[in-house]
Amino acid sequence: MFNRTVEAVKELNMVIDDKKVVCLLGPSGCGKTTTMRIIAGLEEPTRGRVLFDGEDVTPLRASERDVAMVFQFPTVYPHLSLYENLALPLWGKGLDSATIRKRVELVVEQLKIPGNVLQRKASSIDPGLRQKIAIGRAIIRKPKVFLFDEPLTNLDATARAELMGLIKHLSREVGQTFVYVTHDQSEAMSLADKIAVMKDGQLVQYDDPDTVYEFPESTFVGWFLGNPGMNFLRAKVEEEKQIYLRIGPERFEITLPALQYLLQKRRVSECIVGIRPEYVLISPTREKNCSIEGLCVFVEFIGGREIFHIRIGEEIEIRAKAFPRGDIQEGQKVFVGFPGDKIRIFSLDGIVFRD
Amino acid sequence: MEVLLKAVRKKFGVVPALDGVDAEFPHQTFTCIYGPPGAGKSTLLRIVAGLEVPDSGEVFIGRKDMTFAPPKERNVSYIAQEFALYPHMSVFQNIAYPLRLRKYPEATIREKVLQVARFLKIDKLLDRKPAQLSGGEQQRVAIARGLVKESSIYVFDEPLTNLDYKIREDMRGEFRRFQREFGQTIIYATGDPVEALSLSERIIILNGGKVVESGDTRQVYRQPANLFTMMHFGFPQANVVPGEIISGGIFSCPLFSVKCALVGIPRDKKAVCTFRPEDIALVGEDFRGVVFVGRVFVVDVIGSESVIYVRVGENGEIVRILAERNCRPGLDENVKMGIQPEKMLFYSSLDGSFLGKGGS
Repeated sequence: MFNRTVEAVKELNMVIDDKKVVCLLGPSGCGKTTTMRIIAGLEEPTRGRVLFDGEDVTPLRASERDVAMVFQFPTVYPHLSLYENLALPLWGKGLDSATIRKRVELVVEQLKIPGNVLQRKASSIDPGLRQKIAIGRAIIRKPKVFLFDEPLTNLDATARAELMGLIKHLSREVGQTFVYVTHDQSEAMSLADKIAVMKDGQLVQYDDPDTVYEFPESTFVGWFLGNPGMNFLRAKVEEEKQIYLRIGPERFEITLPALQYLLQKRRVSECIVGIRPEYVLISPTREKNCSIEGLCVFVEFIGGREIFHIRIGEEIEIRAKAFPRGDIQEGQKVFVGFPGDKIRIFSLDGIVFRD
Repeated sequence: MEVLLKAVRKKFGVVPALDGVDAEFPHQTFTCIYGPPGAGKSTLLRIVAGLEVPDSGEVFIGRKDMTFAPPKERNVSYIAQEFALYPHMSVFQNIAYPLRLRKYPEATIREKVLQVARFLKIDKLLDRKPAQLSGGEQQRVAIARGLVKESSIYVFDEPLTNLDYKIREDMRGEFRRFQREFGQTIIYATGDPVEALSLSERIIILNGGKVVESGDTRQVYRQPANLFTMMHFGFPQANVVPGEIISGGIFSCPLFSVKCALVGIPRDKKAVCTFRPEDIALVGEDFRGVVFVGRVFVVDVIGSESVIYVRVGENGEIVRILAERNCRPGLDENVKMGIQPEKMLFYSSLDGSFLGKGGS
């Protein structure tokens, strides 16, 4: 808590396994940076404890916790050379200069830094290289935990891809625990062993990336991940001889046994149906698996894909994502379908129904 | 109401911000001005709005020469990147302000404010003061204030740039639909290729104060007339492989050779082969087309797609492949990539002009 009115992080319980990469992911203001700073020892929790390998480190300052941090803005000494920047964390630790040189050379190789720039001053190099040096300064200390706070945010696309690859390779090679904070879902999806999705100071889901993506536990998670995020439609369950979900003026049959079972067992009468745009089936003609009628109101062409905005009835609008196809234009009647195994059912307050 | 710029030049100090720009913004069309920072986008918009006067050249609005007309005679709504909201007024009052200035009746003001507020998803924030809003919400209030006044022409200067990615994604569709429902001429500057691609019907590619090319957005995307456009207008970035055109109209480089259908006789042998990430894929043994190999550097999972970065050739150049999300080759895996020659576009290394496509 920062002051009486702002609860930056509410009751957070989380275990980060040894040698794993965990990403704290969420929109600005969700509490991810505060959580990282608490792990680092830069903030004191108002309540609760931080444990490293079972040991309570809460009373320890950041410098006593053996963590290494990399921030959005590279923390390098501009007036020192790249070599000196990398060697600095090892000075005063009782290592002889030969050992220091060896460790610097190892890091230089791990980060693929060209040897001929090492004597340049840190102020004279580009942001991507500067951030590499910042990462190098973290690795060279061989800390217990690496903490990265949105390290790629200020880099251009090329530098970002290069550093992302580097961090991915490093997390494999170095065999240490990484805690990585980001608002960028692609960084989390690509780098993490587990993603901790946060919202308004709370942990809302904590799973491996594919589980978080395919099986969101709340509509927030379903919306936040994906490009664009999940569609949500209000539906009524109708049971006649078959089970149907009614969406506005349209309805479709639920044929997947697991889904039928879920809806019946939980006695769902009204719910929110979630389905990702890339799983929505779309066709200009009525088909067996595309039976819901709608109107295409907008086609977003984004190069490798098209995103169709489809209105169902008066009020409902969904997005379908597909490879560019010439046969669906704006103003045209279309038919959509939702494969049973890709539908997720949420309560009206946005929590997933599970068996 | 269409807008036409003829030979517009504008200098600030020594460097020209606009260096002989001819641009057309058709009636009731959504036209994007696309270019990197410093290209001259803001200057161009301000000249259309009447906030700057060109050093030379003309500005026609609805076929009338308005080069020197002050902003209020132009019926142009201009929404800048930097904005100032009145801190002591509520969101509602901030948005209503331009209408109050024009003495609209109160009931009309209420209706119009609610309409734009709903469009920008800030209708729940109308009673708040600017200081109680996030940066993104404040930006949307500024946009609302620009939209609420009825104009023939709306000029937007990178309005979504500072917003969270998720909000930008949601707002993209809204902009275009708003335009179609209300039938206005929209001129929209952005440096985001996905935004430009998804929103605009026509596009003007600007670089260093000059128009690189312009035309129907999808056509410009599919076959750029210039290497600059190919390299900068697209996401993920297009792949560029340098090489030479040798006799028989064949492009040759260390990785592959391919026959080209050249549109003319190139002035120089040096050329580049370009292709978009969505046109190349990981392929198997039986693929027929241009094929080469590399080593996976990283896989960036961006939602429902993956971008696979592969190191190729002696120098470890990076090739980007747009694939489905479940395509996850392992780190450092050796892979084979393939593309149809017709999807390869060739440009001169000398002047970036379009030389032809692959195939015969």
